[in-house]
Amino acid sequence: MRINKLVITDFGPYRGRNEITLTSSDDSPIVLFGGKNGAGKTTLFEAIGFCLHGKSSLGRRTARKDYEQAIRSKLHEYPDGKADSAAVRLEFEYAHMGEVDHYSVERSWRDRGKSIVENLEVRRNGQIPSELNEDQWQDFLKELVPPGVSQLFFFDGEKIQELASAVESDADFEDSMYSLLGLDLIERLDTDLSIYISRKLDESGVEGINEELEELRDERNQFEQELKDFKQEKEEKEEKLQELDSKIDSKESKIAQEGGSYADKREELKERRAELNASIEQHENQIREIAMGAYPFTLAPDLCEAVVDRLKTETERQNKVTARNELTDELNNVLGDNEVWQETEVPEDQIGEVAERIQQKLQGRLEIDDEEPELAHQFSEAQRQEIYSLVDKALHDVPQQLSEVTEELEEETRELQEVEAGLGKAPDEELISPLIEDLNELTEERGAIKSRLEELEEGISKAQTKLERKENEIENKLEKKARVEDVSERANLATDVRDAVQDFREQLAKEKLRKLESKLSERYITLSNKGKFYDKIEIDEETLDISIKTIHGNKKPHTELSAGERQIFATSLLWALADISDRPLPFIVDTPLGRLDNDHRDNLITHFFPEAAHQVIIFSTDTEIDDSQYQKLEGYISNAYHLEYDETEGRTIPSKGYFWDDDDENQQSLEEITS
Amino acid sequence: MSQKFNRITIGNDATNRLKMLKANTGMTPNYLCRIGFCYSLNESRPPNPEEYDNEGQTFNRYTLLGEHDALYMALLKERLIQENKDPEEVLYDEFVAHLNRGVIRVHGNVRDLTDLEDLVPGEVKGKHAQQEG
Repeated sequence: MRINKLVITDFGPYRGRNEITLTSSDDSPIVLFGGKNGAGKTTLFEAIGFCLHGKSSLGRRTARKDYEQAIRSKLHEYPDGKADSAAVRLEFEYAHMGEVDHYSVERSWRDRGKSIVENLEVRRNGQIPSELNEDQWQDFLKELVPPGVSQLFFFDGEKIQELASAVESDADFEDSMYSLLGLDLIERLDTDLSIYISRKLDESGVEGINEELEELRDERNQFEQELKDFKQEKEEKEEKLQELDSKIDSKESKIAQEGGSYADKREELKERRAELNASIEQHENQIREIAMGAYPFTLAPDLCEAVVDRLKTETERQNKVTARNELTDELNNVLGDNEVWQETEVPEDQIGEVAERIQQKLQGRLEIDDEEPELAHQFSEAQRQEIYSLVDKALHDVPQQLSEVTEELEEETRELQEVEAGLGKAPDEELISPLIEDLNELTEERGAIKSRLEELEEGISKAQTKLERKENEIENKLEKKARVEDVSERANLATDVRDAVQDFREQLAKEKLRKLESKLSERYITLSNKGKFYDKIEIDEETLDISIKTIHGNKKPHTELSAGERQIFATSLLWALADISDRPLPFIVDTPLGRLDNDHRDNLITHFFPEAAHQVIIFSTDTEIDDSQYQKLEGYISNAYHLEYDETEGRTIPSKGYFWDDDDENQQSLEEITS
Repeated sequence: MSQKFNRITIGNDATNRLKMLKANTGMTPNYLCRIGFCYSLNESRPPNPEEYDNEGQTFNRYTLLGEHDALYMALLKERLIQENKDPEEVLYDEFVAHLNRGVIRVHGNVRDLTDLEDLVPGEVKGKHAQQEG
């Protein structure tokens, strides 16, 4: 098989349609891709796997969902969103029976949101193969390039690393070897056969069947008895339940009678409580009203009276002073009037004296304490009247009202306490509580019987099922009994087949191991930097222990190899295995040189890459294959590409040439070449 | 002059007791203050204004005394006259002192609304009893 062209469309960092020519010749088998980390080397490597193997390229047990997820994550990101479809197409030639056929395989995916729809198209020499239905194409491809074999040819640094670690720990290595040699399939066939045989043998033997039949019948009888017992107990329990129900009814009606009078009383008390609460609230409001009115003055009766007295005294005195002043003024007016005197017979020279005498007499009659008023002058007549009536109210009405309301309130409060106590009391305990106790016991008993009945019903239905099943089993046994002779014949046949398979496996393993031994020796000595010191590799047929024999005849177990040597060893092993697989497939290698020292690198570059197969496609970083190593490879290279990731665009553009071909003319982008 | 005070600040102790009294009786501090004030006025021994701080609640005089402001002030002045004090000079201090003392005393004696009746002096109750009898 030789791959001629890879067309990748909207897949990973590759935008639009990218056509990459992979043609090589036997003299120049190498196609080299150079790109820095993240440039899209591994995407191309994986794309080849996806195209050829679809879901199985991720491993045999991959779930459809995981595969769709993997594909979805590969849809190219445009600046304005994700592409909703992608495609990978491979064109290759494949020789079969001396004739070369040209194949093209295109696998495309469309994102339908919920799922990914995959489409596969295979053409041979430009025609759709007429002998195959669409759903057989995948199987056809599997035959052409078996996934198990392709993992020997398509490998990345990680695979080598894995194999190298398996070499280090013996147990895993054995598994890997068998699986890589294709021996695991035969082993599985052997195991399946042994299971088949042991089952068939178990089934054979009439004696065994008769014994089993006996046992089954015993079991059936047991279940029958069980079912009978259950049914009987169920009847008994149902009777008991009826009895209990009628007892409970009569208890309940008794309690209803006794409890009825209690309930009536309770209702009465509740009613009374509501009345009392309402009345108490009303009386409390009344007290508050009184307290918010004239009540404060009631508390200082003496002062109130003193104020009233003082106001009254001062008012009276003021009134007297006013009256005297008015009278004196009026008298003076009269005494100063000559006409008044002319009407009398008082001689003119005595008028003065008489007037003075009259004034003095009047003064004497109207003698008043001339104290200054202290309170009265601060209040108007209206205010004073208000104070008098307020004091009267405070000292007479308020005490009476307050004592009446308070007395009622106190009585009601006392009664309320009694009512509350009455409500808090349990019902007439001596009467009702024994009844209730009885009722509780009855109810409990009833509950127990009820749940036992449920258990019984469940038991009955289970027993019935078991019984039916047993009867079926017995029937089957009887049928089987009839077939037994036929069965033992088949078992014998299978045993023969198994013996043959085991023989075959042993022979095959021996042969494969011998081939592997010689190929591995050849390859390892070519690639190892101690090639001159090592003579050959020996593999123990039984234990699969691998050891390296030096030219001096000493043996060195493979587990003693250094980490770098193990890598080279693993690479040699892959190479050797690929060789003996007898499949003419190209080697596709992804970043294979990561952990190697310079000597080992040089060995891989000078010996492995140019010689590994008729076509070798290598994905490499600039540090793995540097300038000088490129020089060494150059003669073997048919095509070289540089993968450059444009960060601002978010896409990878493949161009002709390797890293150091910075000659502008060679560095044309593929688009320009292909358009 | 001092007659014209408008704001009254009572002590911390009295303020706290007003809160408790309010919880006991369902009455607001203004009314409780009036009761306390009169209760104190009826005690023969005068209060000592020095005993009370002024860290407590502040009242507006009109809302505190309400429509009967005149009589409350008259009672206080009458008492001051009887004690030979000059109302003009000591009116505010004495007012606040009676208020503080009264509230504290009332709180000590009132657990619920029925206790208000017990605060009424016997002589007044006596008159009531005589009238009835």
